[in-house]
Amino acid sequence: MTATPARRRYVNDKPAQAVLLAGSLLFMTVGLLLPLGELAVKCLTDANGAYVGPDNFIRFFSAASLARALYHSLYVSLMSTLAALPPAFLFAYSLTRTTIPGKAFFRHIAMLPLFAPTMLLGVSLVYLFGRKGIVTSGLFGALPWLGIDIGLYGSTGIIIAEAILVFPPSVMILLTALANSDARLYEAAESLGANKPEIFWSVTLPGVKYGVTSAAFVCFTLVFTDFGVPKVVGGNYGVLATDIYKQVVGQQNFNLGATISVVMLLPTLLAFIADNWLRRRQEGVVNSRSIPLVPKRNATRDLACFAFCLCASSVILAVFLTALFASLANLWPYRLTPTLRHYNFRDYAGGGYLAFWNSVRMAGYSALLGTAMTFGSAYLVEKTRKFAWARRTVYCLSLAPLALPGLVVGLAYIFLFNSAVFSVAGREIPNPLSRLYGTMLLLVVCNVVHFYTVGFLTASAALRQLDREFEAAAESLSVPFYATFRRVTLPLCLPAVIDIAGYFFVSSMATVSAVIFLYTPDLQLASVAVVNMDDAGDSAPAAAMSILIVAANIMAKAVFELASRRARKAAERWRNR
Amino acid sequence: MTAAPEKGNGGGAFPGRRAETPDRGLCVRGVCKSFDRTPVLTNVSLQVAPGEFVCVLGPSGCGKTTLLRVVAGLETPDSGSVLIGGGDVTRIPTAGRGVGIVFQSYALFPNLTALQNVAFGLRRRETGASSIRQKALELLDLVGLAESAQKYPGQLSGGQQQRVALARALAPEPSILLLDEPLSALDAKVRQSLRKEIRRLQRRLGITAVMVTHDQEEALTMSDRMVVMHKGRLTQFASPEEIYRLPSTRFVADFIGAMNFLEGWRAEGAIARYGGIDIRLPAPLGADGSVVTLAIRPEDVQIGRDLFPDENAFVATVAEMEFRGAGYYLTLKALTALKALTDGGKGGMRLEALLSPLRASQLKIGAGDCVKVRLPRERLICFAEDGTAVGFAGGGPE
Amino acid sequence: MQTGKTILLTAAALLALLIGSAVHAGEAIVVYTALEDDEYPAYLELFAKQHPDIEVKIVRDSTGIVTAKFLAEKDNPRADVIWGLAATSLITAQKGNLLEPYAPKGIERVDPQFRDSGQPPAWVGIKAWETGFIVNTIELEQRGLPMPKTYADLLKPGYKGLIVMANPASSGTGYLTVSGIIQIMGEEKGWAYLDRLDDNMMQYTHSGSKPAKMAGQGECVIGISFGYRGLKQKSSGEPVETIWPAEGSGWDLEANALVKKPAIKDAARTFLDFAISDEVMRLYANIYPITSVDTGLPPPKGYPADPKSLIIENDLEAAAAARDGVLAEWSRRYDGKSESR
Repeated sequence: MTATPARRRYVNDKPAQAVLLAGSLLFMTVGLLLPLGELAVKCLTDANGAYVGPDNFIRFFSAASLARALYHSLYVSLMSTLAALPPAFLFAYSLTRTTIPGKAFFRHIAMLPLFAPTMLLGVSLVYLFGRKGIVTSGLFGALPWLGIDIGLYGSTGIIIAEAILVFPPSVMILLTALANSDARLYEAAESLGANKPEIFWSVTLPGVKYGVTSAAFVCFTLVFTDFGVPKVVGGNYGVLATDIYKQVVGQQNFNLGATISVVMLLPTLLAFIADNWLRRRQEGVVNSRSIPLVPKRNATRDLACFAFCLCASSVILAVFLTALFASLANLWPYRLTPTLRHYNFRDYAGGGYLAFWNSVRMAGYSALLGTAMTFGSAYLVEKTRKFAWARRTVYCLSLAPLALPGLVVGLAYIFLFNSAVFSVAGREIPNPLSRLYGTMLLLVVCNVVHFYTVGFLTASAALRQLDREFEAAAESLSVPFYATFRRVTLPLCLPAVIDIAGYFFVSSMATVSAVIFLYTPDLQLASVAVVNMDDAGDSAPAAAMSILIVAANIMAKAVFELASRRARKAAERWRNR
Repeated sequence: MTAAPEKGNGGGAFPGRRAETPDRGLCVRGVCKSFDRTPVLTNVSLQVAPGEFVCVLGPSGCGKTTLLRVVAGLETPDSGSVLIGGGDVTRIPTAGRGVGIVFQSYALFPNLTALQNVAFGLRRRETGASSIRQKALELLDLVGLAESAQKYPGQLSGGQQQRVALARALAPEPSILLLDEPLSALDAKVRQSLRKEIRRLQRRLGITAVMVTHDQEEALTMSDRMVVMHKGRLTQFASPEEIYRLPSTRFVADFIGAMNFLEGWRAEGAIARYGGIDIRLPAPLGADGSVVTLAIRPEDVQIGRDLFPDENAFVATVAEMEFRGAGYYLTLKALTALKALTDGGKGGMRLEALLSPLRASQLKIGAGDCVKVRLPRERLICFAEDGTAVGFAGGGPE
Repeated sequence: MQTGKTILLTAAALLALLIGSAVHAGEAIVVYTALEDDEYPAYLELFAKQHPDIEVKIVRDSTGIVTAKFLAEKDNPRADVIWGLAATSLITAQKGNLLEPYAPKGIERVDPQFRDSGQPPAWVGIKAWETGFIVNTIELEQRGLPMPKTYADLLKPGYKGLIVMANPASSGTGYLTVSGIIQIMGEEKGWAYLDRLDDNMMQYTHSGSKPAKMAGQGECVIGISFGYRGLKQKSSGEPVETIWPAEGSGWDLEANALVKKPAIKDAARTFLDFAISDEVMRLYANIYPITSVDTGLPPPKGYPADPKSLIIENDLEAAAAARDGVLAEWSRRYDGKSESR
């Protein structure tokens, strides 16, 4: 056997990769940069498009009610964060550092609020703590001693509901932080004779402090930008999110809406940057030589933690069961006989089952496009070698959406896609993108961009776990990159791909903030229907629709979970003899 | 195919030669490469004859892997060119170069069986699934893994995985085989046997091979010729024996094997002087009065109880004696150098010598003993102040 | 791997479907309306029966929002027809030159005081709706409070924190109530009254029907809403009574108009003809006491025999002209006034 001539027939990967990268960049440009650009233009101009400089911002801060909304937003965000973090920490601690039974059950229950549109929490709280709520009325007068009126409408209601809302993400972050511990530190502390509280303060807390701050930033941002809860239980307690809605939907004052959304964006961005900065410092705390901590039995502590987890889970379950109960009650609170009449949405706002199925379709498409875009982009960034600047740009753009509240994204979209013409330097240019307005595609793109970062980071992490040389090995075998992607990369990342799709589905199904400005009469959506029905005072059908969304999400999640488990099993087959 | 280098030319001789284009084999010409303005390869030239096995050796960060990746087409050089089989492939992507690569991590696709892995690069080349299968099986047989064809990489041992990787790289009949530290993740025993296996296969297929390694023993035992790289430059390119015997620079001498360096000698014709000791050298050093460093391998240092009749002998005490299995390492202190030591000079003359257990028991040597030491003239190497070998050793670097 | 291939193919097919669905076509009209969610589907069913070839896309929201949306889209109107929107809003739109005057078939049957005086008229009314207090009788009894009969009654300290009304900026009902109060009491006394009412107020809602529904659930005791809502809720079993204040109810007209745009569709005119036809008027009259065409039907159950006695004299033109000023004043006084409880 002698050496063959050096040149070999091959497919040049470069043009195809260039096209794909350009596609990814184009998507982020149209889906992210251009809308944000329009938003920036809108907050610096008046209704007629004339440049007014900071006038809108001056108007914002001089209007007492708007400035107060900023204060309200900051106040409830801070209070909700403070209210949610200690129980979330205790919950995550119980699941990682104790030997209590039922950890998987508790973990699943804790994630339940992620499946619901945020309005559901508000609606449930009204049924629990409103004037005629279950608690307020002392279980409808059966337990009069229970009857306390907490004065739900206003900041109290918002803080309670938001604390429940941000519970799952903070538990998730703290679980990760607490799981990444080094048993050697604890052994060292014990051998030095430290007692339990000392160990907690000197080892446990410092080890998770970045997790705690990260959870705090996430809580703050989520509450600060949430729209659903204050819309339902806020009463007259205006916050920035509801003010944007009021300005844009109620008074069609887009410029002021844009201005408020920029005001809302700033603290969010700050939190995002601070969190990233802190996270970078955290690296290297736990290394590959660390020994994972295996919790030891401690009867008193475990019993207390179990009781606490039971309580926390009960609260979350109570919220969901209340919504379910209310949606089935004939005439709250006077006739509680069960009925399905609230599930017949015919006489209510929002579009009923048509809206529900629209939402399901939208969530399905978002899962598809979102997974394709995030995984594809992450693949190009992580696994190709050409066009370094383009890959770096894609990477940076992919992180940006995490810092953008849904309302801001939705608003930016309506500016870009709903104007028939752009006026540039006094001249009017027809806007080709306006054809997308009112289409399913635009809703899907909006969701994909809104939830982009989490999908992208999940994909990146999965891809980084693959051998860096797979691509080089395949290339040296003259196998084109797409063949390697199909035969190796994708099958190996299938569990992650399914997780990403599930995330996009569930998030898109429940979201309201990004799509509330974009839905059209042809394309009503379930979550928006919840807002509209609640607006009209039809809380029982609103609860019913929320329950449908939760049910769809639980079912979808179960399917995705099953698929993911099967994919993981396949991976196991490759590993084990 | 003969393993010996074509000529007895020393390291670094190629750049000086008129660049000929061989019919086959590999030619690297004046390659430079920087990452973020840090030079990683500086003007590297290399010519590998067809069927030759060349190891690239160097400390980590010396640019050896980058050189391999440039040859593979996984990195594009800033300047210079790469020729494979006589054709310029500098602008041709990896896929078109006809190179087979074996990686340190094996880079086997975990979701494909051994057979599928080997057949991975055969899809387009061959027609008909059965002939692909046939060929893949043949290759697995060649590496002795025919019975593991249906196993997944995760079900194979490290050594087996690396054999599959080798078979996969060879499957499309590449004109060059590139091996990037293929054995470093394996344990010592497996490594030994795979070294032989790789050489056996390479000889049998007559394929040109370039292997990157940081393990000198590997390079010395496997190569026809080997390259030593330092700080992005090619320092010496010669047969393993030559590199060991006549390192072209102080760095090579230090990097490969153990070496005594005796600093601060003053040259006078064919004699080097230091602290009252005269050492005769095999050839004159050139400029009289220049400061040189003498070097000698521990195994070349002769130890005796009696006075040697020859030159280059002196008395020393055994400061330390260390058993190292294959022999004893003696740390020697030259008595005549004590004066220089107290002067605060270069630490006096300290030498290490390797003594076989047999000889050690014959001589009955222990720590603190006074012994006679001799540095055989023909085993001495001499380096100028800039670190290049002078006089009798092989030519210096470019 | 077969799995990977299947997934890729399915994904590609579905994506193609998605992109395909982005481009849609079809002859249809967009109708903006503020009619109640539980009333307009019946009218549309009738229309669909008569004109199966025309697809009607309904955009339904509160009066204030439909108005704001319509006004905001003046350069690029999306609506073809406005149906059942407050006349005060349409008068504003007419001033902004957003309406195309059109005399629908049968215009001569419409009471002249319920349509624009222009020839052809810019807008044509269909029915009136009026302020009503929706009171939860169970809650009232439990608290031992008397039934409020007048605006003045609402100021009683016993009702403190039990009253909900709609925000006039977003709700047509809210505006006609505020406008009515100002017309009855006069500018100065009207605002003074609203100030004191604000002290008793639990919440201002976004939509005009929500106060009634909150009263129905007992979340509040008195919802200042409109008559139809209370009667409808009572008929579905909620423990509510509808009270029209003795001083007289403010009211507004729900009216239709043709939207001025480059290409006006015939289907839009067809819809406007239908919207004042006898058949649909009878449907209106089944649930609303005052319609712009006399149907001869008795007022709906719950209304007195002479429903016009409930309502005040109302100059719609004046009410429309005052709207911006009143809303600005209202915002200044009560917007964002909130309790951080």
